Amino acid sequence: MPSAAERLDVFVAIADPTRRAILDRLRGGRAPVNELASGFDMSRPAVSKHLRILREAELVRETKEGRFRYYELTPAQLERVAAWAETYRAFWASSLHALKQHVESRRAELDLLERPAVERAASLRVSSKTPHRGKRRS
Amino acid sequence: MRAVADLSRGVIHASVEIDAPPERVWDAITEPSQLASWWGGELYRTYDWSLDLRPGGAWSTKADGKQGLTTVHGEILELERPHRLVMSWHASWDGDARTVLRYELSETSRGTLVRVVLERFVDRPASCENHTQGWHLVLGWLEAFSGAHAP
Repeated sequence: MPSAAERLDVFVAIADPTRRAILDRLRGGRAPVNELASGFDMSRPAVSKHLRILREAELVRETKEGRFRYYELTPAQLERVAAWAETYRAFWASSLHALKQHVESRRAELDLLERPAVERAASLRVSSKTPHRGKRRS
Repeated sequence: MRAVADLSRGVIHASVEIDAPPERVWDAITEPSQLASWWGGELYRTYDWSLDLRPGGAWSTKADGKQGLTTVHGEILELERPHRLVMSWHASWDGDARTVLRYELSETSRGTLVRVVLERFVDRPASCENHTQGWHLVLGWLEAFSGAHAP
């Protein structure tokens, strides 16, 4: 079994659509390698190369029984993928909270800056009817 | 506010409603000075934000925190002020990850609904609609193991 440093990055392994399709076929349980390879429109060596990459990423395991070789999913690295998803989920939950606070507090500041102008406009409108021209409330 | 890794749609998505018009929110997610003040928190802070706001334009920022200095950069893929911003995302702490981040802003009676969609396994960034090759497959593989423990 390769060490963590030697192991192929799980995300690199699943970045390829063919390898994702292989993993998807293994969802239902282990499958003989011949059956697995026959479902793809590519040469047997090409499929073998994808299987090797999946093995190197420890996403699948190969077992031999008599003359047959079987492939099955192994969970540990998939759990890393789920952990990655959780990291980003938490990241966006806190980031959007920060965005909301920032925009809403900034809005309050901008409204405060704009208020004198609004009041000035209001007082001008009032001033056309009253003698208190330009006078602003303190 | 909610943020979930959605198994059925195959993506991570988060949303929040903000009491301000979409233009204000748009400025907050695109202006470097504003980004630096909200993006980050107690664990780290971001600075040196740079965004070339046009399709194909580059963006980048630096973050300083417990894990040391990190960089995040990418490309602007789509933009339509003040409704949609799509950008690719490469973080130095996240290996070879190719992630696409999509903001969608829509006006509501209370202000703006902000939705963030994050997708990692994108072969062709332009075709973000194709979720059949995305997250739900990976999480589905994991579910296959969880068996009785699956939610």
